Amino acid sequence: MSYTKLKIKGASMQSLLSVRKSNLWLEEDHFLHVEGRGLIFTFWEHYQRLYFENIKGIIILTTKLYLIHSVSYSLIGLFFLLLGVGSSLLVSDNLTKWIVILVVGAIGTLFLIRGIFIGLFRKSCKFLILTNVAAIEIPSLNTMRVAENTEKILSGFIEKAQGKLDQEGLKKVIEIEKSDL
Amino acid sequence: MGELLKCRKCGVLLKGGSILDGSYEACPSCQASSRLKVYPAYFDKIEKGKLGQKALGDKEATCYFHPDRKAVAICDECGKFVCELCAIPDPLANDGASEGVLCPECYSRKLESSGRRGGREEVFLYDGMAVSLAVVPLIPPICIIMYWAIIFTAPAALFLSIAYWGKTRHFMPRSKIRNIVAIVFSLLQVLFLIGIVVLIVTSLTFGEMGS
Repeated sequence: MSYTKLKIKGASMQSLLSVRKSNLWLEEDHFLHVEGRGLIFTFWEHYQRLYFENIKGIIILTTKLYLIHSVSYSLIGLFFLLLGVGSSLLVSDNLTKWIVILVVGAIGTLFLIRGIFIGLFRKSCKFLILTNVAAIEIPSLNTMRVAENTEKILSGFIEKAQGKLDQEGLKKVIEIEKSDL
Repeated sequence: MGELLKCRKCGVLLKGGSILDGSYEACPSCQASSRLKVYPAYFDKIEKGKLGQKALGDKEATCYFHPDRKAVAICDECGKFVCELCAIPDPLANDGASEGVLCPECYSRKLESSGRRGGREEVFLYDGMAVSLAVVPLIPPICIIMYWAIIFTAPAALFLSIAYWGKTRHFMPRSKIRNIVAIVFSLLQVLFLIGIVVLIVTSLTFGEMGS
């Protein structure tokens, strides 16, 4: 096998330490989705092969999960900032006061920045690949930017293997779908 | 079919505009936007499996796996009688003379022994686990709370990296850097633990001698 690694990665922090990384490797007629899980370093890998000729569609579904993450991180950040201010008021020694403010404040700021960053730039989504037998979700492709890039790259390969549907074909798909409902 | 136009979140029917122009379409009910790209494989039909005829009497040969179904073929590998449902065309038979039929058991066995892989696979990375055990306990918040954990994690990391040296099964050639890092870090931790034990023992011994 001569796999080529796609220069696209999706990673989602499940918690502060556990990681879930996604890599896509291309072969001539299929791609291999490698999903690694672990604790900072990955130690469990899950492989899934999907042949380009079997893929009948790709769905990107937006979700509101990023808002929950954004608000959670921001609240933790604010909590630490308040903690820093509060504890500095209780400490009488000047040097200790500044150390507390700097350490706790830095932690709070980092969380707050991450919360704002997620809210602004890491809009969440679900990435589903449809085959004739199942809708396969690729869990790590969970941000819009990564999902859209991946869809663009995969579409090229899928269309190379299957050809492209023209407007007539797409209208036919909608007709069939509506008639089946 | 008939599933593509349903919202993946709430199941409400969408107009299908995203299929035509590639834009995101909001669900009228849950407001979740989605985009669907369809490829020609959409029109591929998959044939439904045939269930096989029911056996009429006791004298009729029946399927080994379905005793109430009529046998229609014999497995090329083990010779079991199989019904229409269980008769799987041999994917590796390419002699041209016959199609080749296998029972489900022989089919999976033959596929496995031929080295062909299925659609999904999972692999445990020993080197990844070793490096996690060796390094994670040293990360600041963890090493403060769970400093005692290195008594267990360091020997475990050392064992994993030595016992499973080069044994991690990966689909691509994998460097040994994780193993080396794990060995270095876990050895240092083990030496540190030994040092502490020696320090305690000597201080106790000299303490007793002094008193």
